[in-house]
Amino acid sequence: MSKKKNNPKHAEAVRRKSDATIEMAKLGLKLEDDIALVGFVFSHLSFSHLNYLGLTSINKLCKTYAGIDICLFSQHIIQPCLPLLCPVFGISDLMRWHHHPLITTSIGTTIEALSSNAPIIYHYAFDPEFIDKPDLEPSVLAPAFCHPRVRVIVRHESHRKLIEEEFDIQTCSVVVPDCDAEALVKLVLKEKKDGD
Amino acid sequence: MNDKENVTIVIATHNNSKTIKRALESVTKGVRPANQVVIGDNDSTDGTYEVLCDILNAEQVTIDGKTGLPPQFDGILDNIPVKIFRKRLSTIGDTINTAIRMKWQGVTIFGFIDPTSRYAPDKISQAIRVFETQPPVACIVSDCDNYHPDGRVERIFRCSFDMQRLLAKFPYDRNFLVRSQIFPKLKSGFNSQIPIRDDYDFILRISEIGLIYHIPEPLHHNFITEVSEALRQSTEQCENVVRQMTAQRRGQPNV
Repeated sequence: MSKKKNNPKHAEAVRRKSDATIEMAKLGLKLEDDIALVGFVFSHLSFSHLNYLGLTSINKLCKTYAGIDICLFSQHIIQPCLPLLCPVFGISDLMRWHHHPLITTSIGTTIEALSSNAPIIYHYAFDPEFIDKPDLEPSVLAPAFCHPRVRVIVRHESHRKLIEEEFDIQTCSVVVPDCDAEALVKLVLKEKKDGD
Repeated sequence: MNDKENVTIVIATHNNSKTIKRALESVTKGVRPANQVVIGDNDSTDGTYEVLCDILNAEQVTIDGKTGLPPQFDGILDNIPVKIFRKRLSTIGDTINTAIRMKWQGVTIFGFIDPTSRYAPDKISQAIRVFETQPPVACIVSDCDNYHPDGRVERIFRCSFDMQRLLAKFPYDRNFLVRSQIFPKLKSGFNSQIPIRDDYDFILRISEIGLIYHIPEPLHHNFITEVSEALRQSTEQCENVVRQMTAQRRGQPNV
């Protein structure tokens, strides 16, 4: 035992395990929990405000948390604006997504994600896109906000008021600015754990 | 001012005598006022330059036996240095470029304001916070409140920057702030050949070298006036020209 304790590699392993435990605890998880799988669905991965900040924070999340696997889905497979540290799938692969949570980032991706088996779809409404789509019938837009499997997360307090009044729904109490993947995953995993 | 930024606000006026004082005071009296303001008057005929001289207490001068207001003047308003100048009639873009060249050294952020609009008191401070926390950001745009002639105030929600969306439609206006480092990369300032919507061209060119960050708060106020059909058509034509220039620059087929 003392031989093991004196081994510097052992001390390093203990330190890394302790760091990983602290990091996982930030997300409400334990080191011995199953690896958490979370999917993000983007319309495309090219340069935009949402994609740049979102993909940057997803890369950071992949580096920081060993116990979380992130999968990206994109409606349009084009070269991403950043080198990615997680796998990217086409939107058709959503059909093979089982009971893991999905975070969508637009009306279009939310409607697409509704055809998957994900029990809850977290619609991160980064933009009030429906304002730009006056020609679309409310029946087309409504599922992205009002479907029983959809929970809406907003980027700003003013968007919350706008969306809640427009669609007569209750959005998540947490506001996530700048597509902060860590905050989104934390919210999703906490709700999943509470649900279990 | 607890930040290290040096913010210069640039205003190009043309017949804005009724609104220029409101626009100017919004950038000198905010929570975080500008470090300096440069106003270029584009040969106004409604007394805009006289209003500016009056605000800054510029006195008449005699040059070559002729007495009149100075062609340029450095004054102080609310302890903020304000430089004004007037020039022969040209495009707004040309006037802004002249103003930028006058106050270039040491500036870290340039802000632009439409002389008919007004910055919210915290617009500059919020922009600085974003610039300092998000290094790839080159330009900051925001939502706005529209003040209608009937007294109605309308909150305008805008979508964030997306390359394809921006190419399809210009959702912003001239009230934005940029990092001064982008100018060498852009190789030029505003396009002085475009009479209207030079701001659209400028933002499209910025989007090719840096991130455009959208703050979802009404950080400036636009005062709405009636737009003639001719002006609306000219604006549309200029937007189409800007899109074609962008497509050519990017090697894409014409839009």
